[in-house]
Amino acid sequence: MTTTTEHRHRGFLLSLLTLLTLVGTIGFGPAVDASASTRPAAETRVRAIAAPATDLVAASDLGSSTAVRVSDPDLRQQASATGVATNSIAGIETRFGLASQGADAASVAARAEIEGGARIWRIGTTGQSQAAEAQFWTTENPASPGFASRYGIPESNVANSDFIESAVLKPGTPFVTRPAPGVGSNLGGGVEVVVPEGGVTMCSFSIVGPKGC
Amino acid sequence: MSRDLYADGYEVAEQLREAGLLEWSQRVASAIENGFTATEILMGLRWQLEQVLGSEVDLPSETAALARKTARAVGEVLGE
Repeated sequence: MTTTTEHRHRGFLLSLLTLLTLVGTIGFGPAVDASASTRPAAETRVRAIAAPATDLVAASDLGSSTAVRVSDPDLRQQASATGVATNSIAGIETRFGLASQGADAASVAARAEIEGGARIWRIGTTGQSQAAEAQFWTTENPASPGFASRYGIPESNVANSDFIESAVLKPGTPFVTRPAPGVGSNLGGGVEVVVPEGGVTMCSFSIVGPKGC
Repeated sequence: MSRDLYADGYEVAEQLREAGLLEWSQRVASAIENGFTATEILMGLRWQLEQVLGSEVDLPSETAALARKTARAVGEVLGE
């Protein structure tokens, strides 16, 4: 009898010990600090998910009209590591609102050229127009015939312009490409590029017309 | 030939000038004159029109209607 009682007592204690161990494992134990993790990949993932208001869009979603901003550096880094094109976004915030990605074939095709370092261009008027900090660019040299019509620019603006500048996109900078709308007698259809302020590296700046050399 | 939204914008600017709202007139006209792609001009024009419509200034009803109509048309041209 005594031996049987002792066995039962030991059995009860072992069951209790097992139960307490299990309870500790499934979440009633001390909180786990993700940032103190010894697994860097898991740590990056936790931080990326925790970043507010950030989403990723795969390159195949370029035609989507969803406005997306990728602003968190950790998320960008993770996206880059996983092969998702981080600058393939649907919208760029400008001082006049959100400029969205064009879904037409020419705009989508231009993305690869710009990511590959193709020059983008702009004309303007000194003292009035934005220059290096400008957000709206073209994929064509303004000296090309029919430029004003393809980019929907009033003739008077072209006549009053006195500089031409070119630039390339800074690596990893988000941008959108979109067709210039036709306005009045201007046909539109040229591919525009919209970047965040400071999103380009300047290549050239020339004063033209009466003010130039 | 597409609708000439720049002409509509200049018409709003002219009506603002006639109403004595010179600063607003200049701002609307500048949005057209200082942009160098159609998207830049149209987005800037719409933004200025929305600013004047949302301001406290006493707009003539005809001017307010034209500004509203132009801003809406700009949105359509921009595909929004």
